[in-house]
Formats: sequence, structure tokens, C-alpha cells
Amino acid sequence: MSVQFSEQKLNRVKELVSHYPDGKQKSALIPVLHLAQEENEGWLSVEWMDYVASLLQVTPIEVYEVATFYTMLNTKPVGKYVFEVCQTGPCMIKGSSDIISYIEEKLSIKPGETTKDGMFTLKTVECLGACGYAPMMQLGKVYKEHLTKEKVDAIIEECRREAQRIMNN
Amino acid sequence: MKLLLKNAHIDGIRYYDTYRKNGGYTVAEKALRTMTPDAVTEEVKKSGLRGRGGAGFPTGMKWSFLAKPEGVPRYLVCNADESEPGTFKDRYLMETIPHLLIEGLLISSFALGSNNTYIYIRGEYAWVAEILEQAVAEAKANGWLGKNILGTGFDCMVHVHVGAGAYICGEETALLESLEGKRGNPRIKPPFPAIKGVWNCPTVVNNVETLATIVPVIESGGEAYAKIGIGKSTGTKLISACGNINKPGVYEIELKVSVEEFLYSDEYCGGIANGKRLKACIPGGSSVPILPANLLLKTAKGEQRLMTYESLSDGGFETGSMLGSGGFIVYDEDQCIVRNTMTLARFYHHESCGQCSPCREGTGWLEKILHHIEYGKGKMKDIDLLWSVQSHIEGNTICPLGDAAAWPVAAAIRHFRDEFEWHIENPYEAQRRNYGLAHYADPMEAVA
Ligand SMILES: Cc1cc2nc3c(=O)[nH]c(=O)nc-3n(C[C@H](O)[C@H](O)[C@H](O)COP(=O)(O)O)c2cc1C
Ligand code: SF4
Ligand code: FES
Repeated sequence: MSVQFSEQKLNRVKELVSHYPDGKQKSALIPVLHLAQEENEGWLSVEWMDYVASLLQVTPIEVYEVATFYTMLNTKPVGKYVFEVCQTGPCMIKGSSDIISYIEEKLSIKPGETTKDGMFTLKTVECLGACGYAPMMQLGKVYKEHLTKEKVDAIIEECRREAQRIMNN
Repeated sequence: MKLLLKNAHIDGIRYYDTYRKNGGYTVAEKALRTMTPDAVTEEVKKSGLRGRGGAGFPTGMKWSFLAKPEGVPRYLVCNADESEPGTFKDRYLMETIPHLLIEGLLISSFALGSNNTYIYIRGEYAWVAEILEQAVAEAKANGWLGKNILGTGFDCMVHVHVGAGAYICGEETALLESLEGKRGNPRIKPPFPAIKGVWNCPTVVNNVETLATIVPVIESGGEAYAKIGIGKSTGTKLISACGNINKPGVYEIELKVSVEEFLYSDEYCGGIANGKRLKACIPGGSSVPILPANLLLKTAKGEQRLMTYESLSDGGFETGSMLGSGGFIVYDEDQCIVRNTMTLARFYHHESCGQCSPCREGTGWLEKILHHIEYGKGKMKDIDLLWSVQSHIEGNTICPLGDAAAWPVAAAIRHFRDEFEWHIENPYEAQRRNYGLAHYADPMEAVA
């Protein structure tokens, strides 16, 4: 098998497994899939899923079943930065449709698509528990709330700058 | 009145030292040192505390159903999946004062005999999970979690378990499936989790706010707690307010404040934003019926509507709603009920786990028909079709998500039928204006 966690990540897997009773290591599946996604540019390839299956001693099909059920687990490649904009009622009445159109226009992509340079993916998602701070989007591990067009511009700029920084190093 | 959030404003209350300096963990100490597990449960029963996750089931009673076979571990699982549109109160509590939840979990685990307690938190709340993990580590370092706590012989560890995006995992049996590392498909009940829960062991699932509330309940005693609020709505409740109001946010209210006060006073929502008028409100999270302004502030009998379980449901689904999870969504006169209902139908369709055909197919139909009407392609008979589809979902499914998808549509048609008709008759204008009819919205009329 060609893919593998680092020593440090393997220790984290061990620790996660220790949270559950003996023989119930399958319970660590979702947390471990999160780790695998982090290692693999935000998505789960079959190789990675099979690797996780072998680590947790479950069958590959058990992993595929789970990976395809949960919206945060991606079984296809995604851009470096994924804009997940909430479109449910409370965000909609605070202007999420305008924010989505603005991002579509600015990045020339529709929801579900990734920019040609592989930099940005736009996704529409359902309520993320930030309705009082609408409109909002999730970007990686953080929420960007009270979105305006100016704020979207700034976020895109920030992502580009960060990517440049990583490239230069 | 504040019990949960009374110290929330204190700088650094997120961290152990500050929490402890402000009286933190003294209630846990009282419970573990001076009470028996059954005595704790007894106080919870007396308090009249009802589950804050949405269903309002009495917590003490739920705890007393927990099976206790010899030699089998029991589990407490904290439901932090919080995904009901309009609801963001658990997040606020965990972000602001995580040790209150940990203290509540410790006392509750002691009462139930859970040595390994899990917090199942929605994956999107990644930074909140980190805050919780840090709080757990602090509590452990200070002897409040781990082995032989306070020398009492009681062992308890709290584990933070991160989900991966699925509203259905808030349903307690789906949550347990997910905790076992499977798809979040709700289980057929019985057996109930109290008998066979996670890994087939007896399990109690409670909401974040419910478990945090155990701290003030044990602090003051059940009887004193029960004096707060009105009737069977005892104590305080967190309400997350959003939509077209001046002050969206999370507020703790005594369960007796009037809806009018909650909506208009500066202590809470601060009134409708931009000088607009109130049109409608979903008072308890997207699954509960929407109410037009006149039925929100007063019941059909003309009594003042209060923020309590009983008052909000007064009139049943015909003229009432529910307190639910406390997700209070306010719509001003410009908002389109058809469009809003469409987004909710889309939500439930997206979140249906697909096990039962009435839910899987029905939510799809609801979304499709509403989409047609919203985008100017509706026919008059579609309104009756919508009604018929929703009525065939309700009561015919494994879990209540089906009902939760049906109710908002039913309530929207019941109270705003003319707005659906207007959309169908004026497709061009409905699309161009992108908002609905405003004639429900006179607050003076509603208050008078
Ligand atoms: C579709 C669905 C979603 C739910 N989501 C949540 C949730 O996010 N958080 C929660 O505490 N309860 C949720 N519930 C209710 C739980 O099933 C359960 O009743 C609750 O966690 C029990 O805790 P409580 O008695 O303390 O309220 C949901 C129920 C259903 C049917
Ligand atoms: S009602 Fe819907 S969500 Fe619930 S079990 Fe059936 S298909 Fe799944
Ligand atoms: S509706 Fe967008 S975060 Fe809740």
C-alpha cells in the first residue's frame, strides 16, 4: 500500500481508538477519516479508504458506506479552499443567495465546481448553526460570518496570499 | 434570569482556573461527596427539567428508565449535533463556558453510572470540539475526570467524538449508529437506548443544554429549581434568535417571559430590524409550525403567548406551534413564505437518510413542487398536491424527521395559503420581487 499516516498521525489514531471499548475500534472510523482527508488534500481516495479499513480492521465496504453518507467526507477531489455557503431559510432571508451569486461571478464557477487552477471549490450547504450571524460560510475548520461582498473579496485575497506563501516555502 | 449564562460574560471563563475561581466544580463536589447517584436522579426528577434538545421529555424520568444489568457498562452520550435550522445555542454554551457542560456531564455520569461518557459533536463545529478537548484535558489535570475522582472510587472519562455532517445524526438512535462508526440510519424502536443503546449497552442520550442544566439543578435542589418558570415549564431555557431582528444572538430566558417581551424588548431581540413590521415566526427550530404575527403574540383564545412549552403549543397545530429546540426565527414583512418553505423542504430532502420511502420520496416531492411554485411554474392544484404529500409522510416513518419535514409545509399552507396562490397567479411578479405578500404584518393589529 502506498499511502500511509505519519508516525505522529498514527499515534493520534491509536489515541482515538483508545476512547472506545476493546473490539469497538470501528467507532473511530469517522474521526480517522477526517485525519485521512487532511492528509490527502481534503478528499478520500479509494487507496486512503482501504488504508483506513486495514488500520481499523474493518472491511473496505464498511468504510465506503460511511464515506458516502456524510456531507463532510469527500470522495472526489476538491479545491485547496472550499467555500461552503449556507443556503437554508435563516441565511437565505439575510441574503445568502446574493453571496452565492457573487462568488459564482467572481470565481466563474457554479456550486459543486472547482476553479481551473484547483484553488477554490464552491459548495452550497445546509444550516451550519450560525443562523444568528448570517450570511455565513465554512472555510476549512473556521466559520466566516456576517458575510458581505467586501468580506468575500477579502477572504479570496487572503486565500490567494496564503497559497502563495506556501508555494514560496 | 440567568443560571447557565450567569458567568458567561466573565473574561477567561472558558478556562479552568477562571471557571473554578467563580465557583466552578463546587456542585460536582457536592454531588460526588454528599449524595448518592439515586439522590441526584431524585433531584432531577423533582426539578421538572425537560429535555432541551427539542422533544421536551422529562429528564429525570428518562434517567430512571436506564436498565442496570449487573456487569454491563452503561453510557451517557451528550448530543451536540445541533443542526436544526435556527438553532445555535449549544454551540454558544460550549464555546463560552465549556466547563459548565463538563461539570454537568460529571454529575450526570455519576448519577447514571457511566464511566465513559461521549460528547457527539457535529463535525462542522471543529473549533468547538477543540475547545471541549482542551476543557476535558484541564478537568482531567485537576482531578475532575479520570480514575477515583475526589477519592470517591468513581471513575469517569469524557471523550469528544466528532461527526461529519448529517442532521439526522441528531436523532438519538442515528447518533448511536454514527458513534459506532456506521451510517446515521435511525434504528427501529423498541428496543429503546435505555435498554440497548451504544454497543448494545444501556444508554442515555441528552442534549448539551439539558446536561449543563444539571449543575444549577443540583446546586439549588430540584424543588427550588421547579419554582422557576411556570407550571410544567420549569427553569430557564436558551433561545437562539435569528432572522430579521435587531439583536440576533443567544439569550437565556426564564420559561415565563412573553413572546412579545422576548421579541421587542432591548434585553432580547430588540424588535424587528430596519423599522419593518413582523410577518411571521418559527419559534422553536425549523421543524415546528410557523406562526403568523397575530398568532405569535397571542393565542387563538386571545391570551398572551408565553415562551413556555404549553403556551407555544396552545391551539395545537391549527393555531399553535412548539418551543422545540429554542431556535427562534423571525420574518419581517418583506420575506417570502414560499421561498422560505422551499429552502426548508430542500433541507429535509437533503438530510433524509433514505431508509423509509414516504420520507425519502416525499421530501423530494415537497422540494420539487415548492421549487416549481417559487419559480413561477406552479399550478393551483399543486397546493393541494403539497398538502397531500405532506399528509402521507407524517406518522409513516421510522424516525420523526419525516414529520419534521411535513409540519413546516403544512403550517405554511395553513396560514399563508393566499401567498401560495398569489405566487401561482402572478408568477412574473413573484419572481421579480422575490418576496411575498405583506398583509399579515401589522404588529399593532396583532398586539391589540
Ligand atoms: C431529525 C432529528 C434531529 C435531532 N437533532 C437533535 C440535535 O441536533 N440535538 C439534540 O439535542 N437533539 C436532537 N434531536 C432529539 C434527539 O433525538 C433526542 O430526543 C435528544 O437528544 C434527547 O435529549 P434531551 O432529552 O436532553 O432533549 C433530534 C431529533 C430528530 C428526530
Ligand atoms: S423518517 Fe426519513 S430520516 Fe427518519 S429513518 Fe425514515 S428515511 Fe430516515
Ligand atoms: S441557516 Fe445558515 S447557519 Fe443556520
